[in-house]
Amino acid sequence: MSVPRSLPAELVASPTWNGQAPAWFGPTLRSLQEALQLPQNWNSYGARPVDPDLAVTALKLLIKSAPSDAPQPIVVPTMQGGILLEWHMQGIDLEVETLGVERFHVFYADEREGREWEGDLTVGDEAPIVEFLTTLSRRAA
Amino acid sequence: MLDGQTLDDPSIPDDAELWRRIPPWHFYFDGKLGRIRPSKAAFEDDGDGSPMSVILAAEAGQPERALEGHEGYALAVITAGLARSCGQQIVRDPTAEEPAHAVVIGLKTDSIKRRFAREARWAVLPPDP
Repeated sequence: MSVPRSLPAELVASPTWNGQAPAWFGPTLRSLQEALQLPQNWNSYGARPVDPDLAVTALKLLIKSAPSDAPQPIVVPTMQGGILLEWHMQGIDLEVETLGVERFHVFYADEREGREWEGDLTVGDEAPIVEFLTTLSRRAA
Repeated sequence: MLDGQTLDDPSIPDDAELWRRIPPWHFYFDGKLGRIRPSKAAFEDDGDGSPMSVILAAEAGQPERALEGHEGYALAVITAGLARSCGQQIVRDPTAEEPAHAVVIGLKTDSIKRRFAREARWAVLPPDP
């Protein structure tokens, strides 16, 4: 019996932000859904299929942390079945990788401000990600 | 060093080009750098825990051959010198399918993977979308 490889309905049903889903939501959802269809060894080097729980973790993090005008992330599946969200624009590099269903590794580098931050965060402790995404959104506006 | 043992093959010069296949999910346009580049996620050890696979360009054929059977892939290049400067060792590991196969042995921290991704060049560019 195959395991369903899709996102939960409550996440697929677009949450609303003042009645309108942000521009990043739809494309990001589609990318995550496509990533979930990748088979074993999808990269030719033995990569695992994406873990649906980690895809959910990534999407929940965005719903909770990303401003409505946040730029769309690049969705990157990882060798171990995780999800890496990346933004590279406006002098900023931001990478958020799922390490588990409640843990992330975050890298942030802001060339203009000369600021760099790297570390692990857990669910409930997303304040730095909110700050980084807010800065990115403001600059990209 | 691996368990105190030097494995690095000195017959592979620092300027040797190492090819790495990059699947479509692992390259994108970097708006900060203004060019298409691989993600750091493309420079991991293999899924079974084996060291990262590469092909020694000088001992391989045309780069396009390395992508046969891998539609949509690109081929990135890093140098042996770059890998060594990141604490990696390069060891020949010929296989029946790829006599020029080698492995890059060593701990790949995020900063090392990021450096590979940013300093990589293309032997075969990503196909047009």
